[in-house]
Amino acid sequence: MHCNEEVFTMLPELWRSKGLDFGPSVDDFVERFFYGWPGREKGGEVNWSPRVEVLEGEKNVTIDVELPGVDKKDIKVEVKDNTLTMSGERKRNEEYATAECCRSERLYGKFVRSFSLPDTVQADKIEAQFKNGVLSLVMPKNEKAMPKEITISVK
Amino acid sequence: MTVVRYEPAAGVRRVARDWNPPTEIREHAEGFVIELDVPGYARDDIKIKVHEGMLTVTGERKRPETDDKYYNYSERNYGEFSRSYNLPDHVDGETISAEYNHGVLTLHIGKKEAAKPHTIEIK
Repeated sequence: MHCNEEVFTMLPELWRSKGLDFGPSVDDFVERFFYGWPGREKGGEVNWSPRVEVLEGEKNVTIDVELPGVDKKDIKVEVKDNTLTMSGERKRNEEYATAECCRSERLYGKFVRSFSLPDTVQADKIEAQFKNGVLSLVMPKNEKAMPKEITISVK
Repeated sequence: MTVVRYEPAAGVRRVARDWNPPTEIREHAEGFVIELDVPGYARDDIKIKVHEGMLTVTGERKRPETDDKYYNYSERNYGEFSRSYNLPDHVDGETISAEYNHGVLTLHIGKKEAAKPHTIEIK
């Protein structure tokens, strides 16, 4: 399978959404290119990038971050000067630490992602929830950002 | 003994698969442990089947329909996934158990008694 340069400039999701599908081996190859390379036999200890989704509603902005297998105590969320930084570490499951690793596509190690928050959100009122391996950060919007109806008074 | 991923119809027809969850397979004395990273799924969306020595895990997650919100930016995978594994002969298909915690699906497969390490005493 031959990849040309143009393909590398697109994220795998954009690629797939345009109907291009070269099959699992190339999919995985391009995904690793953007999100990190695992090691050969064991999961690699590299800096990896968790997947993120931003939803915007009328009253809130929600950021969902996929962090499967990460312990809540290993996650840190910080807001400073309108920049939201989420960092942490994914550690190996100690339960089977002595087991041989036949095959791993997982990434372990440290991760960091930062977001610039717009003026429309109240950065100090962030709520964080962690369920099923997904970290949800909900930020309420400012009063001035919410849609308001202006009544026209006729004189 | 390696457990390999087996896609039965890869050459014939497209297996329903929009994305591949990262997997880790480990072998220990008592059996195998297969872990799949599938964050944000509901327990009912994941199906595990064993048939004639092949273990298949499938799942589907649709993008939630929202009227009042819109997706500003998304890197998450939605849609179907499907992964199949050929179970080697020395594995006991009856002892497969699965749990879903913290977004990780963990499958435990036990080895048959005869395949576990035995020490033999010299008389």
